[in-house]
Amino acid sequence: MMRRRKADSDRWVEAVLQGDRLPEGRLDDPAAIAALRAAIELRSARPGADQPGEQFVTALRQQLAGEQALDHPPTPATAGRPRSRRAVLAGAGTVAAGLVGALADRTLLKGPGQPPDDEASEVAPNDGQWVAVAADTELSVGGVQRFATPGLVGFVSDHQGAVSAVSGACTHRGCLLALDPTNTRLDCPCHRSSFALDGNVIFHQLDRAPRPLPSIQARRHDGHVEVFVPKV
Amino acid sequence: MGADTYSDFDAVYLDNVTRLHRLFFSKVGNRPDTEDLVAEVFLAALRPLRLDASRGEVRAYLLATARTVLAGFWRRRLGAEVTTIDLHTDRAAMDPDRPVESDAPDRARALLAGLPERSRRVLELRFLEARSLRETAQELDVTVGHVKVLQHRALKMAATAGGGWEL
Repeated sequence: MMRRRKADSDRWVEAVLQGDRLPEGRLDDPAAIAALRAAIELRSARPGADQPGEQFVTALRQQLAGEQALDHPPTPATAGRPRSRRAVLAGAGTVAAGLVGALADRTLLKGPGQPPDDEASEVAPNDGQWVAVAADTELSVGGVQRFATPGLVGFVSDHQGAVSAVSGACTHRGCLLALDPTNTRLDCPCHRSSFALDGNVIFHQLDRAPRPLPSIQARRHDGHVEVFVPKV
Repeated sequence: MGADTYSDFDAVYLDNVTRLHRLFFSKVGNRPDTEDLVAEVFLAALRPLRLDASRGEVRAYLLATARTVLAGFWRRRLGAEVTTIDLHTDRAAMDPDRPVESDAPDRARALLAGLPERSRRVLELRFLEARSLRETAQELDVTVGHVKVLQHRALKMAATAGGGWEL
């Protein structure tokens, strides 16, 4: 893939002409890159080409409003109060650094100054039972799998042959986490917090770091992967 | 400009969505990728952005976010930064006092100006007038294969002769 005969821009130029998404690939010849750049410049001069579509503008507007509603659910105490007006931006230094910097800074800065209000804990129900959630063979080495029992949902994962499990509910507001496509992170659909498979917070955009995900006892037993969950 | 701040995020969005779309389209040249990038910027800005910032600060923040988002896009897609956002030169793209009309046609004209007649014509037909290979071949009275060769060569010429790349 890296070493196709000679990097050529034709494939990408064709996509630009067709108005298609640019295909994935590798382009390292400077002349080819410059040709693609010229194609992009010319294509955007087609009359009306760079004008946003009405449908897109409306759909994104609704999506953003929905995201905000999740952040600020109207409650009697806060209804009608304007958004908080404390700091100007996330921090002057992060502006130049852009998004990635902003995310990192927010997580790092809040780490030492404001430790999460609880260390990692375990679910350990008073009245629990071992429940098989996968066949031993279904959970390969390094694999991860979601499970749902009547009492709780979670993710069981294998790390070099040892199984462990964490709760599948975000510690912020309880939204159900989703495994990201790379199988390495649990993402919260509500406020974009993200947890590692061991339950630790990878990043968040909240004012205060959410607690790590509680762990759930897990074991391999009788050809199954089992978790210790409440009897329901 | 009236008030110097935005009343809410919706106002930020409505005031900047067209400019950001234009900016990204001029950097990636197609609508689906442009729309993804615009959405990524607004979703990323939604929480960190504080609304007591001035409009200018908000736009500067959006532009800085757009730059990072575009760099990530190219890294993932092609492993090469084909285009970049410059915080100084591209600031004009976000300037509310600038007319909302696109300046892409001017930039294209500048790019084509130095080319030989036939090269300029093939690029005009294909890129600006949306003509197919076949139509372009008829128009120029050459074969379809020849149009491909002409187009390929003309783009390379435009890329080197244009010289306007620090725009």
